[in-house]
Amino acid sequence: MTIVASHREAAPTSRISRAVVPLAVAAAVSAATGYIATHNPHSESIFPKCIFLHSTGYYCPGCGGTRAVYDLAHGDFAGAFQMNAFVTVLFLPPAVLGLAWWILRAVGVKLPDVRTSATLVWLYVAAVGVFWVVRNLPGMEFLRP
Amino acid sequence: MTEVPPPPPPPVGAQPSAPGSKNWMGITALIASIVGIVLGCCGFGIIGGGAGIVFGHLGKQAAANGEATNGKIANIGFILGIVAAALGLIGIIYGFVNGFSYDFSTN
Repeated sequence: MTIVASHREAAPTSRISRAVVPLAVAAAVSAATGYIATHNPHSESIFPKCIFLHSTGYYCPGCGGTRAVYDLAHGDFAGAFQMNAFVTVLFLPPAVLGLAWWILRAVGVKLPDVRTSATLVWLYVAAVGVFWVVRNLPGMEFLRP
Repeated sequence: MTEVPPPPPPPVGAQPSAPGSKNWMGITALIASIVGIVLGCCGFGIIGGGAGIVFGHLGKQAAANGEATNGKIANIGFILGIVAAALGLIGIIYGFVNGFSYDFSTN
């Protein structure tokens, strides 16, 4: 007697197809970085001037971020820190690490899970707000581009 | 001789996906919203904030259906998405009021 088990097996998603989305994001980020790196934002304009800075005279948390990316792309960490300390320390490194983690996991490299807690996220948002205020205070010129 | 009946096949496509399988929605909402806030002052917050609102809403639904375990993260992404979109909207309105006559010297 033969029992033919007829069960549908879920088609295993290939590593390549799982890596398509993170690789596409990485390609877009690389293209944007390459564009900024080859168009010096210190001297020529890539985007319009920040609306918040333009209307209030105060720097927003992102002001100097483009120049920080340019400086980092040219190996100038001190310059990047001067342009936008938050973007240099708390935005770009987690973004690059997170993207690398996402791609490596997608292609099958065993990496530990990363848990994001609500507390951590609120702390991060609070850090954005604190940076926004502090960089506009007198005596904090080193935090302004 | 006893005929052994084959076990019934598992239902296909009826049950919701595994818990956590839609956690990417909440994370996507969160990342899009935070990027939108940083760029919000430059008028780009609409894009990031819009994505944050959409994925935050989907993530909250997925959490309610038991398909995601990060409902809190999705909710924060949703809220921050509204903030980012508001910042971007204010920027765009300000731009229209001023005829987009920015100083293009630096950014």
